[in-house]
Amino acid sequence: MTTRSDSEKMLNAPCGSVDHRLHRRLFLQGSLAGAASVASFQSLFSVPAFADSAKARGKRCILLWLCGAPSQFETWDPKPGRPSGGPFGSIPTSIPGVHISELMPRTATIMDQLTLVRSMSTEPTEHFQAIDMLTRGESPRPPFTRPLLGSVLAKQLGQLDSPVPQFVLLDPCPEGNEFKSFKAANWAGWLGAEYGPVRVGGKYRLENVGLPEGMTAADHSEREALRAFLSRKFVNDHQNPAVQSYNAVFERVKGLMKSAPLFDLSTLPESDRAKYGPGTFGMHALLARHLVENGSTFVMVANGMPWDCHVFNHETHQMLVPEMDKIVFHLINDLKERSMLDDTLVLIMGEFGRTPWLNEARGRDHYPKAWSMAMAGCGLKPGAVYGATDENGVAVSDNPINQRRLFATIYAALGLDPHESYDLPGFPTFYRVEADAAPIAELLA
Amino acid sequence: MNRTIFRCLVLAPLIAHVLSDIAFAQNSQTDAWPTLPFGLNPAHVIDLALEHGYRTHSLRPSGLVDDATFARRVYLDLVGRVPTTKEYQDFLREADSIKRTTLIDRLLESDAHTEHMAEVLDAIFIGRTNADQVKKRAEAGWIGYLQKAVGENRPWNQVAREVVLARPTSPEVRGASWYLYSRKDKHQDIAEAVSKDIFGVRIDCAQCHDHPLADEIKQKHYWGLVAFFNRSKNVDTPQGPGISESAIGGFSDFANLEGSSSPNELRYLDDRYVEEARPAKDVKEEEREELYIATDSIGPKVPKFSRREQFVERVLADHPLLAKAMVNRLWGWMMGRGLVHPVDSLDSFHPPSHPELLDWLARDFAASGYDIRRLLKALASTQAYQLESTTASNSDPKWFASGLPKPLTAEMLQRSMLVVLDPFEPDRWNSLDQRVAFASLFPDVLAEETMANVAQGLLLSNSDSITELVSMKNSRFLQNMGGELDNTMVIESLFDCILGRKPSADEVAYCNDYFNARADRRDRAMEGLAWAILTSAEFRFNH
Repeated sequence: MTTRSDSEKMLNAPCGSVDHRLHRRLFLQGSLAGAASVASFQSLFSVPAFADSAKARGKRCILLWLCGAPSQFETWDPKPGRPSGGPFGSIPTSIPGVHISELMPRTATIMDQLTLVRSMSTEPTEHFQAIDMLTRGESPRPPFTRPLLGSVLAKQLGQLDSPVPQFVLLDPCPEGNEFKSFKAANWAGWLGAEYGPVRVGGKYRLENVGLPEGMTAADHSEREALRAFLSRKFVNDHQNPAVQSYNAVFERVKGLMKSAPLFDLSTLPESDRAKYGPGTFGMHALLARHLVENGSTFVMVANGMPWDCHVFNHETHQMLVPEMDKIVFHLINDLKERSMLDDTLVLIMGEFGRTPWLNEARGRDHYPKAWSMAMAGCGLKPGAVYGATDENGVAVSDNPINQRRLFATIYAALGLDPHESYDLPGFPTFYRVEADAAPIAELLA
Repeated sequence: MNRTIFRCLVLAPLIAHVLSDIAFAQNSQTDAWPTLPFGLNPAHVIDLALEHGYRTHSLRPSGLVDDATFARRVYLDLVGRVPTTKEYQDFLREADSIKRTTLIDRLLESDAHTEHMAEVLDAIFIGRTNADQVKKRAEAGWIGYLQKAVGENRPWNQVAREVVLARPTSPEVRGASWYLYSRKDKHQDIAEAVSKDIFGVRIDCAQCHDHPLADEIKQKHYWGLVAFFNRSKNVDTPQGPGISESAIGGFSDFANLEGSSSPNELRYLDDRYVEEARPAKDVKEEEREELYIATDSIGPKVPKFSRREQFVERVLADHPLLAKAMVNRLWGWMMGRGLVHPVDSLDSFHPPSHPELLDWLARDFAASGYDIRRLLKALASTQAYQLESTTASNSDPKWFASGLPKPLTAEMLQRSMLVVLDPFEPDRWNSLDQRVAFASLFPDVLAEETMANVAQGLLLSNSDSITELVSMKNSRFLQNMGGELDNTMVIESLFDCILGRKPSADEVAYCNDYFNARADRRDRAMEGLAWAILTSAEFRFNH
């Protein structure tokens, strides 16, 4: 009961005060970190066009999307010895008194740099609705579509005219049930198609990025200018998301041709690839690091849909968690080594948790009521652990956090006002985060 | 003004007058709709129902499209490509006042329509796959089967039956088995596909529990539908892929999230239920020859009590969703979105924009003998279909107050480019690999919303295959265009032949500058302009 009243207090707290403080602090922090990253950038890549965008860049974000939803018991919130605990033990971490699953030995050594929420509690029980909500921050409210976190950040933090795509979705398999329907959805929503993601598939490079044979760069861009001119009237006359998005991709072509080397993993040292690889998840996490290092604002690593463990939960986690452990460990270390962790927010999460009990197939089913997610970097308090579940992990016992408070925290960490309003003619006001939900003050540095 | 529209304008008020008391009188329309007779032309009923929506929501529909726009629209929808220059000219020249109706009829009767609709159905029913699978499905007779069915306008309920039963009685329907066969004995995949494709309902969500958003879809329907197919097994016969069925087994329990379990009885939506004796838990069923119908061949086994047969006889036959799903899908195909949208979500969570109209059309479709061509003709003949797509007002698209732009499918886009450019070696751009690659890049068919991705822009801008296709060297159309024409005439012809319209003065001026800057390489200028028009949003969409 105390938890509920606590959270209500948070929700009803007058909004803004926390933010004002944050804004100033993050502004100062951001400008320093920006200067540091320019230095590391220049040593890596000799594409002059990137230098400016890298300089102007402030915050950025990598989302390791654990699609299908991992089990909190086999990752961040182990319950060894309890009926719900499963066969794996827990191990101490670099934060005294905090244990995580023994499947994550490397991450355990850097827990003092992560920020953990063990009291996620949300509603949707199905992948599609849950993925949609936890990537946008809110359930649908027709007829307008709320943009994804990545689109909001691309607009607020990124540079539209940058040759480097601001929102990149690294997407290993375009197929895959519910995630497929999600990918078919309108990503950028009311912000417009130019803030949608550049999607890159399983190949670790872009195709068709060279000039057509015999064509000069000048001819190529004048031809595109002609195309854009001839499309203008039609696009204006058809205020339709599909039409707009088709036109928007051509605006990206030139920038992508320039930034194509960034997407080519073979240009990175073999030792890097060995560290993260060989799986697609690792390769894409490495690519994400490389992209934010060179000017992307938001990179979502869409990790297929392997975590949906309705069958053989333990065996599947035994395969998947160590890979994630390795990737999280290297990603956080690499960002830190490059002095990028202070202005790069890393989010590690799926769309819900998994049941404290096993089904007949020894799987864990969907469980949004009590689950965990981890973050790191940018404006967050390192080593903070927030919220808790009861002894069996059946319910949140301490400080439940819903998607709104999570998003408010994410925006605040990135220096954005969570309560910015959007007024659309003829509709009630939309807010970046609805219902005045407050950021989790305890997690903000 | 052509006569289709004339007829609508004259007859509509007349019918409206007759029906106004029963069908459209305020407060009573819901009760009166079922009494609306079936003899009426569905096109008129559609226009009246939409008109009612405009009035209720104070919307002003767009104007009607001109002949060239109509021709492009209906060629794309019914035969899957833009008209040739000659087809445009012939149609514009035609003086007959019912020429739009005549064109609709002619296109619906054409072989090109058969090929196109078979392609669309294939993409919906099987989806996009690799070249190997595409080859296999053609070899299995699936494409031929669809073409035959579309070509003879076979009643839709019969097609649905043949596809779901997969028990061909003649060589020419043997390809129907591919629908189940391609699911490789994954019975849940089969159930999910049948529910979506034949009944327009996605039941995937009900696997673990009753559907959380649509109350009528229960977990027992999911596992019930699976049970109708879970005795089926792929077999390879000398006649090609077949589906045998066992007479025993397939009894299990499914558990919900609370842990309580229920038997997987033969059930599906709309309270369809087939009773079947369940063996006691500890009794092991035994295979016996007398459980099967004796077949003289080595073909698939057919049990005397066949669950698939029970399904088509007692669940599928006259199921209300069978007609409704196809009506909604064809409506979506022609109008740019379904009355229920997305088109395969006929559940209580997705209410139709015009519920009475959808009900009436579904009953009318069933009463017509599931006549697809008649329905397509009716849709193409409505005023709603002929509304301009430019959006003057910001009305919700679900009221259909203006035409909605529809993205061309991969096949339509590719074919339209070939029709325009008329390459000397058409096969070079139409190989199986080319088609598959294009389809995987533009996979959508009747998607909820088609979002472009950069890979499409990069391919159209930079790939060798597009660059070479849109070239003087390979395109007969571009070669013929050169010659003695002056720049302005070339520019006007390119617009005319590719888009079916004249360029605006601004466009002529901009293009002339583009040509003048390339006076020393006019061929490149023509290729550049042709490319710019072919990759414009105006070409990419049917509008």
